[in-house]
Amino acid sequence: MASSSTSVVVSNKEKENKNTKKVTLKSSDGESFEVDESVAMESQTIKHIIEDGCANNEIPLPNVTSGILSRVIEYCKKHKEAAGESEPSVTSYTSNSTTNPLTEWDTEFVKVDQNTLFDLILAANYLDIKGLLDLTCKTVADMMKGKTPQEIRETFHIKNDYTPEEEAEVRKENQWAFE
Amino acid sequence: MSQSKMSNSGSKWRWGRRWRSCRLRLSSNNNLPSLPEELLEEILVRLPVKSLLRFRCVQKSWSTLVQNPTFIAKHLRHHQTKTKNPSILVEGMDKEGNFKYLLQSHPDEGGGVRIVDFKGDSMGRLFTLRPLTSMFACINGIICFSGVFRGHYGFVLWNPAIRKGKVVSYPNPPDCPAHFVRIRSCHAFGFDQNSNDYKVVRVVEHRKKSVENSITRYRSYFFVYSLRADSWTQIFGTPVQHNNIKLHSRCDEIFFNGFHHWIGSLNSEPGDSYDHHIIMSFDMSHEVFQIIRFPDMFFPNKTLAVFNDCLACIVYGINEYIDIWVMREYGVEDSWTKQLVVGHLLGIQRPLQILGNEEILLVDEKKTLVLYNIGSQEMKILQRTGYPKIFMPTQAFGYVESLVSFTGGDVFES
Repeated sequence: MASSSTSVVVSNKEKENKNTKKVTLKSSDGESFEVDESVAMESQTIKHIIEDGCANNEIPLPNVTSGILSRVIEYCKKHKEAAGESEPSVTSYTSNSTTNPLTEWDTEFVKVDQNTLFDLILAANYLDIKGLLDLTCKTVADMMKGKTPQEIRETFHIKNDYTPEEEAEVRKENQWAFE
Repeated sequence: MSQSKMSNSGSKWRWGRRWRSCRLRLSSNNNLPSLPEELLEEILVRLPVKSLLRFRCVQKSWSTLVQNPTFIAKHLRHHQTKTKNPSILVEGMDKEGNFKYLLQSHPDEGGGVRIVDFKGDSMGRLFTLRPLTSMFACINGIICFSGVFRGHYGFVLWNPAIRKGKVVSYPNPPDCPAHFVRIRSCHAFGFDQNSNDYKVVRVVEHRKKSVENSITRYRSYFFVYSLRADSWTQIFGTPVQHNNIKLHSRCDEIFFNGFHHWIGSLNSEPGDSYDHHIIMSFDMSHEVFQIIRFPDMFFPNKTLAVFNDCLACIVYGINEYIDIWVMREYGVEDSWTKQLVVGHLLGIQRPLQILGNEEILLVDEKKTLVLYNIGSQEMKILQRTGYPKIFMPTQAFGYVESLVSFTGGDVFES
């Protein structure tokens, strides 16, 4: 048993050396970020670019600013690390039974101002990072839950296109939801 | 923030395959980035029903969205898959034999109890549940019960989350052929995902006892109601009629994979042994019956359930263990496998349902509901605060809210 565990450690080290392949991501404002390829591949968009063989030197991301990109990279790094560390569950009868060990970290991660949050949603969608999109959308949804329609309009800067009579009519249809 | 696609000479980039061109029009405030409609949907889909109904007032497109069947389906799917601890809808009997219904939140979410009652407005109040009401089901957040409305037997479809319902009367029962007596009817409530339609199947059974060799013969009539068409049609030529099958109903049934499943007995006498048990399935989409056989099974008591996205059968009754058999490949009788043996369950009377893929809802000897977690082997007792004094649980379903609404005649608000 002891000898086989040593050999496992050795092979992991070998793997580590092979996997320090890096890619450079360039934000819209010209800043470059060097990251491990495996971390960058948390983004399905970037993953496809790399697999298509189009990532020669740098991958330009013209729709993501440096501020947002650095945060996104932070998210990907943390989640990649956590995925690597967790043991596969022995008898899991369902895939959604395991609680996310990063719940606390994620909660702190999204404690940002609204602009940043919306930018993160756009970036997560653009870069196709499912976990981040899920987290950010859920955060916005949670924030919206208790609000009145007027407060929602203010948050999203939406113009009310109902006439007062029309609005009253719609309100009446679901009056109980306002209590 | 500009969202222009970038064309890089010499390489093919595939940006945002989920990109859509339509966007929300925002006011002149340029500080907040604009969210495209599909991302707004991603956010709205995560909201509870009550919030969404309130937000119909925000602007007209939001009201339209909330009533859009595609959005409603997306919202439902999201909540069905993401809700970790679903609420439990429980049917039980009080000491007079009347059915009472409760919605209880999962013990991990507080276990609070709400009495389920749709009699909000005048139309709802005209509906009375029959004693020994023969149907109770819950699919996609819609509850279906049979009862009496304005002197006619029928059923009600009710969505408690939006507080709207619809009453439908049964078609007139067919006349009994000579020497037959009408014994009872079975019903099933199901969802046809191909046409996004909710359906109710009504099976009316007649029985004839032949004196000479005392074989009991059954004859059944089948009717299907479609919510979309708001009408009934009769179906003919089913295995039930030809094979003299008697359907059991209540507690043995399950809706799964677009099919409703009953346990039935083949060529049996009342009180016959379990050897002749079969599953009768009804395809909600094609409106066809089929027989599925059980594997050889030792235990007489069976409850159909869903486990690991497969049709399952919980078998119990001889000792303190329960077996969960799973039909690994739907419709393939050879794929029945004994997936799990759960034990050693003391003081348990019978299983009711499997919730999610991890928890078994059971009734113990004291008539209390208990949730057994397969992974952790932990038993959680559902608290009884808010229950009627005498309450014997008979059926239960996992419940998730939905926006599904009703049109046509006899729609009411509660």
